[in-house]
Amino acid sequence: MEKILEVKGLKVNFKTQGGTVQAVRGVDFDLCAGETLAIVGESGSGKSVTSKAMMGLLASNGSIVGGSIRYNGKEITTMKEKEFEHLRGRDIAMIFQDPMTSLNPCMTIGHQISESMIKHQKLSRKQAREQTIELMRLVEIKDAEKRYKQYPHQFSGGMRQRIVTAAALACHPKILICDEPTTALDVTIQAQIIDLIKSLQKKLDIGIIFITHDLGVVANVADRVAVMYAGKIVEIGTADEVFYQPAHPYTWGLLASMPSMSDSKDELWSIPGSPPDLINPPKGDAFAPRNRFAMQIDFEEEPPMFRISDTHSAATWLLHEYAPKIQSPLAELRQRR
Amino acid sequence: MKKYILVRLLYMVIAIALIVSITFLLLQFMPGSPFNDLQLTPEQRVLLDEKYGLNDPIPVKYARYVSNLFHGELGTSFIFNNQDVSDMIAARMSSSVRVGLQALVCGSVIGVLLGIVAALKRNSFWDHLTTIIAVIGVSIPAFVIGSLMQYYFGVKMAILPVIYDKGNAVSTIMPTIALAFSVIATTAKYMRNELVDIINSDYILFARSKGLTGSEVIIKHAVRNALIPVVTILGPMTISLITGSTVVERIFSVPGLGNLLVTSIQNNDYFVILGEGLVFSLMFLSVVLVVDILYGLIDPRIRLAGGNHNE
Amino acid sequence: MNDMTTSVPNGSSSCDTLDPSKFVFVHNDGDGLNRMERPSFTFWKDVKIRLMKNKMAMASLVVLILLAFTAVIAPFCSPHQYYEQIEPMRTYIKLPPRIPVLENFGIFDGTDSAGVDVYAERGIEDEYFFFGTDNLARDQWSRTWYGVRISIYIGLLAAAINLFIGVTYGGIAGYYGGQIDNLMMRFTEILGSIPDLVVMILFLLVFKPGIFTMSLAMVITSWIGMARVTRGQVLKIKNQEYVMVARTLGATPRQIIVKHMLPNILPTIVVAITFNIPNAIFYEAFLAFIGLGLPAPAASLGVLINDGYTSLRTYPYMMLYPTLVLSILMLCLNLFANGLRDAIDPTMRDK
Repeated sequence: MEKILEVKGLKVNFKTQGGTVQAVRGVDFDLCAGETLAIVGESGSGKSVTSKAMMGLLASNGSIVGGSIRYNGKEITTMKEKEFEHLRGRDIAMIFQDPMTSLNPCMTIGHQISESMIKHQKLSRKQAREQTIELMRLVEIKDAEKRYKQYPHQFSGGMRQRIVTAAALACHPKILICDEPTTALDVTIQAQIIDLIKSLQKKLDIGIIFITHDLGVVANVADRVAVMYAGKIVEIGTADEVFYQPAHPYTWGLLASMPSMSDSKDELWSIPGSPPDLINPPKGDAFAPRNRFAMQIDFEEEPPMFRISDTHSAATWLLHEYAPKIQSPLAELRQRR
Repeated sequence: MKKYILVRLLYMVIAIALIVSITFLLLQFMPGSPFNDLQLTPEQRVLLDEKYGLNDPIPVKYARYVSNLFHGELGTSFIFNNQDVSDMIAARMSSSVRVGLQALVCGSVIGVLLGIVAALKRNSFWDHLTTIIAVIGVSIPAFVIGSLMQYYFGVKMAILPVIYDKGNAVSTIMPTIALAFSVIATTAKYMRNELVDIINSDYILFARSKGLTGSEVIIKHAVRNALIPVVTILGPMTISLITGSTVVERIFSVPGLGNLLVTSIQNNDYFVILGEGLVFSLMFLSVVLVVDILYGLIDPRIRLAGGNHNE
Repeated sequence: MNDMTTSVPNGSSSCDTLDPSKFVFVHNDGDGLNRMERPSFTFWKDVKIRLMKNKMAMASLVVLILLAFTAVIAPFCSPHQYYEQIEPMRTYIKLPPRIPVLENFGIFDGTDSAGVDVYAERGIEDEYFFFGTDNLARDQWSRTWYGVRISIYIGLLAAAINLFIGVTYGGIAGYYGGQIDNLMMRFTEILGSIPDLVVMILFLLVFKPGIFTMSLAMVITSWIGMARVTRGQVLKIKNQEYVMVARTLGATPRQIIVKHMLPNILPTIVVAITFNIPNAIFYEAFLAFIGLGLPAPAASLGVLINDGYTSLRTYPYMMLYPTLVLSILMLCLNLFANGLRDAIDPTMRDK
């Protein structure tokens, strides 16, 4: 399959009062056309920052300090803002976490959806209006013609996320970045939005990067999964591999803390503690202090990516030949059930 | 929306009733007030008795007082040749309104521009300037700014007229600036904070993710939205203009309401003081009401569904 | 398809340098977690550190302390009391400022705007009035610093009364909520819709200006702001889980208010109060300027400025020094209040 996006060694720093935060510390992944890659991690793991870096929308105190992002072979980290503006919305689009705040409250939704069409495809207002109404039907907003002129506060959360989706897809982008698009919605609406995104992906052949902290959502949408921790990808593989043969203790922790996985009576696993301070990242494996399977080496050396299969690799010393052989505690759990 | 305006109107009526009652009580019971001042001339006593029935029982007097107010009669000035207070106030309205409006318009235009620049170029010279103006605007009273300006530009350098003169527009410059200072400070600070909030909001990020240019996002999404709530500070601004006008008008001898208030306070001219109090309250209440309605009309979040015009 | 794993596969040569003995599990029950966390400070310590970093606020604090210190010792630097009309008045009336040492540099040398050395003219060359004298032959230096005392006193008194009324009112409204809250807030809305100026003037017409009545006049409208702030905070905290838990566990309202609410609303109130002090000083000066100042011989900065204003053109220094002191005082109080607000609520810093 054709690779449309390649990220290599991406590093992003933020300057804050307390010092420089190394939010993303070397991330590699790629995305093929029509594929869905999920990036999973706790808040502060750098997943949202990674997505904003791909959009060129880092906050003013943040900057890309290393690595490359290539879209269709073209380097975008060094692009001028003017050039980037042609890419944004037309080739790469994004949906944000909270539909309640990502729409301008003082502008009609029709205007907000059609904005990028007028900008990129140079449509007239009338043409844009027609296409917008069509698009609104596509994302299943009823009475599109009437609602075209309404304001965001006249819509429910789920409806607003449909509007946001429509606005993002207005120019048929190749890549859609979904930054926790369902977190702020309630469960039944979540499922609807995910179904919508999936069906649109099929119709329009979009590559999707789906950012979430919720593995339950991932299972429904992702072809491949990357697990991020403390600014790095600690495990990446196909959805089946990550779900059924997870190799990194952090992934074990995430999987075990899923409600459907853990035993209702005694919780097998929860990840103790909180993510490390990325102003002074710890030496060795950043996850070591929270890892029950931490070894001496974890506190001293950073683990490289160990390849497990062609598609699956993980950064943990447990995969080293010297490491004691242990079985994933998840397997035990599964057997017990 | 209709209900909202009705509730506002009700508050306004209650507030006015409250002020009227208080002023009546002051007239009735305060030692030295015209109702019980022994130093009035017999001629003035007759005048008062005619209008307010000094020997009537209190409720009757109150009713008379209120009905007089409804007829626009605010009483008589016993210091200035028994002039009618309503006439005095009416005669002084235009100068005050002129200087006040000039200060309001100049001040808010400069303030909005300064606020926009400060928010867009944070930590730049303009941003620091805005902060400094905002602090000075609340720290240094208008009468200090006014009298210093008068002394240096008017007396020492003699480049601007020292006192206000109705026919000479140049003479309104200094009083306008002295008054506008607090307006600039308030507007600039408010605009900046509002805009900074909006610039950091998700919908600006989303608008940028659609590929709009920086200036398109700022103009179409940010500044437009930030301007809407700026309308709401018109209320507090009226208060500070009224307050400021008293001292500024005194300094530059503007024949306006503020000046009149200062003179009547110094002369214990009760009817004039109370009358002005009423007029000021009424002005403020009307501005607040208009602002509330206006805000409801221009902010789609408050505006009722249906009938909207801007696409 | 995914060959991005550039790093070593299992057991490659570069790993051979690793010490196999390090591949043993260490006992890891979460001890290591604490090591990673930054040192935690209590809230007020944090505030102090942030405040110390704010140069403007610290400079203001230093100036404020200097002002207060001078206000305390200044009267001892002058042989004349603030209310004393020095006899014979003809000699001592409206003297320009004169300060030892500085007089040699052409400033504060006792000359009037025409360049005449008034001190020599009147034969009092061995006397010094640092800020000159006023039109009743009173020492402006003593009066100015006495005025600073009065102004600060009024500011503090107003803030204290404000704190008491505002917090009590807002606290009750927020704590009980419902109909009580509704009624109490409606009342503040109506009161708030009358301009402060009008309320203050009416109040001072009835209760003639004095230190206490002036302070009360400021509070009459400004307590509303304090009440709203308090109410908002109380409402917010009331619905937080730990308060609900305390309540279900049978804590009395008193316990809840003292233990849970006060510490949490304190920062907001402290910020509100620090803005209140300069506000009251401002209004005092303003009222004095429109003729509602303290009666003689008491002198606040506002009264001095008002007195000085009447002879501004001929004797500008009579207004200049009280004005300067007032402006510095106000600027520093406001800058310090700004700094304190930023230190207490860092999210406000950027605004």
